[in-house]
Amino acid sequence: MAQLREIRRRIRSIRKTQQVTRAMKMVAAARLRRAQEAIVLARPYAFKIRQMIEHILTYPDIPEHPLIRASANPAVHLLVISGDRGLCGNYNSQVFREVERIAGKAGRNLELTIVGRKGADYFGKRGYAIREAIRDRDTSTPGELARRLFLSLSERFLSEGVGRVAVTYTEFKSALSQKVVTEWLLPLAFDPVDTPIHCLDYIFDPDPGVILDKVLPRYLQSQIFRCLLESRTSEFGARMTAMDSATRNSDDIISRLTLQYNQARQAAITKELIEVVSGAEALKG
Amino acid sequence: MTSMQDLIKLVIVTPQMTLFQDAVAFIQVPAYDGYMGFLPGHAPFVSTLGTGILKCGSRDDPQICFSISGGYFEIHDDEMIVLADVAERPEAIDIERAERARERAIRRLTGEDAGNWDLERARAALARALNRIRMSQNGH
Repeated sequence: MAQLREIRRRIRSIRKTQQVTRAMKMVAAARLRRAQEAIVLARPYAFKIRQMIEHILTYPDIPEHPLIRASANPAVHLLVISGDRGLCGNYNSQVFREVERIAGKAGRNLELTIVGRKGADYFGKRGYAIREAIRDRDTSTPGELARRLFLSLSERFLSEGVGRVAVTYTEFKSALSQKVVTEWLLPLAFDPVDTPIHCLDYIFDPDPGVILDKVLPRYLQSQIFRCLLESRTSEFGARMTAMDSATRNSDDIISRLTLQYNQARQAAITKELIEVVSGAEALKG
Repeated sequence: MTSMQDLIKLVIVTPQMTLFQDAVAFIQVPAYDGYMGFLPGHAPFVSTLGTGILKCGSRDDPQICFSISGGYFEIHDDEMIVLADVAERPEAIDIERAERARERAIRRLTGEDAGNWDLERARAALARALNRIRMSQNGH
């Protein structure tokens, strides 16, 4: 009998866990949808601002902008975008693995800015050179965060503390598939445009150098903003998938335990029957 | 019926979203040096945006307004792209928030609020707040 009660208790507790995982899955799914919309809506700006810069850069005799200038400094600054919370499958650990791979190659020349509590905890314990760790990612909007990161990263680059700045984030492909990627942020790189002639008759007011001076920082900020949006959306996707499989796992366990429970109950009944029957037999004899 | 030749394709985008996309007959922009008007057939032009009200009009709706602050725009081949840091339709403006922002900026600029405020930013905040208030009061 003790065994029966034990199994019943376990089934109940797993049902409760399942309720939680199912709720988390629903929440993640709802947020995922909104985050996905935000990515799509933010795309035209990133695309157009890049196009505009490429137009301006075709103008002859533009002084080389400090954000574009290549540096001989071998030091690399890496912006790592992780999450504040777990329960999202291998979303965070994949980011860690990628950063460790880069750190293996860069060695002493690498310093980190970390977004997300999980990443801050992980790398904080492992002796990496961390310049800044933002542990409460979820309390500020991606826009605010992008501005803050843009200011500190460009300051670090312009003061020649580092020669290059890169970002490791999780690219959102679909709810089921996310990919960790690393891209260069600084110095900014642009493809040469095929049709430079048609930009010669542009009128600039103020002159192109001054405009570039204002547009390039904005572009960098919009790049960081995009990475933050992608990572956030990926996290919701990963959490939804993880919680979905957790819910299904608990379904499996519950059905296995129910079977066990029924078998045990059956065995107990049979045992009692045998006892009754054999008792009756003994009295008869 | 207007042909495509005497209209400008106007696109207004902010970092968050595309706010407006349509063909219009004229555009008035708060540019770097003050307000500028654009008609179809304008020469290619690039400039930065100040804080102010962008007006444009199609034949059907002669007065479409946006409050705009900061950013850049480019016009070429009768296509104008406005990349605004902030852009809002008048109905989207939160007048109470704008009033509060105005009060705060004035307090900071007059030194009523003690503190080491960035005066440049306070001035910009005041300009944005006044712009929003002005636009929502004009009712368009």
